[in-house]
Amino acid sequence: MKKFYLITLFLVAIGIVSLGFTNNQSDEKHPDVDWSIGCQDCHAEETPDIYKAWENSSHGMVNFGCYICHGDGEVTFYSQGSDATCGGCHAGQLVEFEKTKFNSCYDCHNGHTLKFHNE
Amino acid sequence: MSLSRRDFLRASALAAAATTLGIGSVFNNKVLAKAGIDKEQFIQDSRGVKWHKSVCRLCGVGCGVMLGVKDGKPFGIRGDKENTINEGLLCVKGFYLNKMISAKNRLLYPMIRKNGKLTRATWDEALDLVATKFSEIRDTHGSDALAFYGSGQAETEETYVANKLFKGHIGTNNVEGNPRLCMASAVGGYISTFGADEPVGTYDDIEKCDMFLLIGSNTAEAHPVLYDRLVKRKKRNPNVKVVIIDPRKTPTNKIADLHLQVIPGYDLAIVNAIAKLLIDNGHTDEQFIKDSVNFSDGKNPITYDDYKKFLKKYTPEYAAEQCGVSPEDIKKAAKLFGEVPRVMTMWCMGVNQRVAGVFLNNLIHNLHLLTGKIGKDGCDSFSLTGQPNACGGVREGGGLSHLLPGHRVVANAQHRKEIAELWNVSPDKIQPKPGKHTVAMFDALGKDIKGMYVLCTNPAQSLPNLSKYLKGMEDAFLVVAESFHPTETTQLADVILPAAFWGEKEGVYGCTERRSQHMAQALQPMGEARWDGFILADLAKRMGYKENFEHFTSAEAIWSEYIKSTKGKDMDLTGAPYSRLKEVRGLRWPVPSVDHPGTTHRFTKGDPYFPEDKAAGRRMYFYTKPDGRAVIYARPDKGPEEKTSKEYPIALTTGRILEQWHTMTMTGQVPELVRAAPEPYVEINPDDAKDLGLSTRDKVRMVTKRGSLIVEAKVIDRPRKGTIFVPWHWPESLTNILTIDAVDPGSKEPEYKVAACRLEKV
Amino acid sequence: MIIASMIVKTETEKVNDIVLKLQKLPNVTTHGVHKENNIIVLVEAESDDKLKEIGRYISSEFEGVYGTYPTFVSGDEEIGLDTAV
Repeated sequence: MKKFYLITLFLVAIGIVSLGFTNNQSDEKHPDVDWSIGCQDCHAEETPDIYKAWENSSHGMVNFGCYICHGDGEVTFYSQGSDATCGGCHAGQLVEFEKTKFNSCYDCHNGHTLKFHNE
Repeated sequence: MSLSRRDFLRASALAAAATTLGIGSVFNNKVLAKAGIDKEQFIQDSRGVKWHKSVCRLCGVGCGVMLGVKDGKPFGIRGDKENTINEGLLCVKGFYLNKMISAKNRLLYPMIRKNGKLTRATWDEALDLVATKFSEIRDTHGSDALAFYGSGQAETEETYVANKLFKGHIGTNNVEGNPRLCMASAVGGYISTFGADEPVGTYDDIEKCDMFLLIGSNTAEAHPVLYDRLVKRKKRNPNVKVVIIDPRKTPTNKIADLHLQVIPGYDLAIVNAIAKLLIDNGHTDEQFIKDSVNFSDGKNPITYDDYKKFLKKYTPEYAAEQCGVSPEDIKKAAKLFGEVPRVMTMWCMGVNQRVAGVFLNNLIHNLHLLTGKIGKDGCDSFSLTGQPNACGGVREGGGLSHLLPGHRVVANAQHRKEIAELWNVSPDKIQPKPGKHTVAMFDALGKDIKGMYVLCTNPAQSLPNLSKYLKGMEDAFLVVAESFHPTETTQLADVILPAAFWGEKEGVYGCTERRSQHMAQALQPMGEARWDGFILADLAKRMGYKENFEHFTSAEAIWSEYIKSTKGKDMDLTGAPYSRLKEVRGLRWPVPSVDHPGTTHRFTKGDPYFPEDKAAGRRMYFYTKPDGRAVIYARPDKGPEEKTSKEYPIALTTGRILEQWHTMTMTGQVPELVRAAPEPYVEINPDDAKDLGLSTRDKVRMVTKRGSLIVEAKVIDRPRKGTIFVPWHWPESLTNILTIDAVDPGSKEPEYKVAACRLEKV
Repeated sequence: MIIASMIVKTETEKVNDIVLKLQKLPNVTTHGVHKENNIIVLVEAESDDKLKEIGRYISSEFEGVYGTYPTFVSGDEEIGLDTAV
């Protein structure tokens, strides 16, 4: 079966419970792992390509860790980040998407490098 | 008219789906319209959020943050894009500030120890008990049997009230704060070299600088937003060089051009060697030296020639041998420093937390004075700060045992007179003799000192050689005002008072670059928590000092009284009343009037106190020194207090990681941050690990003369061979039972950065 | 009452059929097909369990559905407020 990323995105700060109903293997739960290992330590070994891409990116340069976009994994997990998260720090670069042909930060900033159009 | 609750939830649900699909920015018109929901109304309702201007609660960089509040609850955190320090950027810790406000371990009501157990009490019970006990101790044992231990995280207003109460009314100079443990050596360095505390330049210099010399600072993890400014500077100008002097390879090395990986505690020789090479290579600014510099051996004035003679010993080869680096690298560093036009040196705990902390601070300033690379764009000898208001509240507010507000000292009769007048007390109420410094104070606790008030800090985890001081804290009458419980310290307290947390109170923080910034109150304090300023003023009233505290009805009232003490001083804040601070993103003193823009470089043109007449054409005039000249000190290369030995062959150094802050009271409550490094660990060099047969995640026992601790090994090529690095954050693994409590003789700051230890595989 | 939204991802050629089927379910409304094969669905369920049930039902009983992806769920605490409106 085709693999999809599950995206959970919370927009308003009202009480939200997370639900996991899907027939897909890659649901929003992070696989149960040894939680005493930090995300970066584990992913450097388990997903070295993603880790390298992140490490060499601007976020990696300033050690902006996995958990910022993806949650801590155990309590919260988002397989993909949300615009709202980006806006938390890049408050100076907010885009009025309605005035563009794009809909999300991730339309242009791709992958784990988050470079513009994966340049 | 507002949408109904149901429509609002429907709209939120649809907007979430639309955004997830990437078909609407945040609110997709079409989707909402189809559902019969008015988009504009939805945006307004969903954004029923008020954003308040504030400053980050964590390190000393002073990033602007906006705290969003909806229905009286924290809604979110956003970087403040108007703030020129961070331009909207936040680090990973600041990003979760809102989660810290509503953390599960918030202390919500006062507690009193009854029959050995902390039990809930009313405010009246708690404060009456404190007032009665403190008055009793004062009357029976004298005022010096009481002490106050504050914090570089307290607001300036809070420290000011505490100072006024203890030094001016109770009458003891036993007023200290945790900046003694982190900044005191920097203060000592600035005062001895320039005659006044705090840097000459500002962050503005970063964007004009050609070379950054980082000593004992893991900027990437300890000051991430500042590090990001360095990264950007280097990215845009690849010729910019970064040279690091540190016993460890850290994430900061990602931007390093040269790393001198020194043996912990031995880097003074390198800085002297660089000074020698600057002179030998003809890279000095002789005119500047002639105009604005004196020389001293620490006791007496010496000549430039004497200084050169003193430096003879410090050849690159000698320094290299002392520090375990290559002489070539020292030459390279010196050449760079001399050749590039603009240099900023930045340092932090690796320099300050040393028995030679003040000396090393002096030696760093020497490099900038020899080359004249100070007091102009892109140049400075710039100390980084670990706490958000160590500079503002404690250094400027006079929250240490020898200080008074506005860069004054207790030993000076005129200073005492001025402050006594402001406080409306008799000048002889303020003692001329400095009180006990932090380590001495905790040493006396439970003995000469019978009662202590601790505000917003956690000494039962953060003091060096910790085991020695815990009993005193247990024995004495200990009052702790805190926003969180339990901490290592609240668990030892006799009374704990719930303090309003960041966002729940108004006040001013003063950051590393002399900038004072106002923080709005955005929320009501949780539970029964009250603002520390009011708690202290209330205690003062209950101890019989009502008259001089009853006008403290707001943070602004306290700030207005405090800034009077700065009028005409080198740190003049007269031009920074609340009315102005609320509008701007902070002001950098001296700012003597409300129409003054603040100062980017001190002691030169643009500084309102720069005396053009006395300077008589000289570029810099250090008006805080009698003859306007800064001092280059000939300081010997003093090593660490505890040298490695056969029995303890490894140098242990402590420090921080990016995701945690100090004793984890706040950051330990955020699951995302905890995930980054869930378990306490020690970094061990692969060569050392091999000798001991250790692998990552093996348990290892670290033993010093003072104690031992078992943690997980992390075998990594970061510390140099023969050195281990232990982060000190985790309360379940108290790193400070290993550290040494020897202090710098000048600054009284302990040497957290070097201890001798031995490793045992468990 | 719990209000939730989800994205139902389907095989592209079957998307319109599935929309029609979804519209027949009680308390379920659809809000367009986006990016070829993504249907936005709003569910108003009586309880958390009921919501899960609907989700599972869509995932397992409809041919051509790759998966259902929750994007928003109003919390339990909100229910009281919601019914009061």
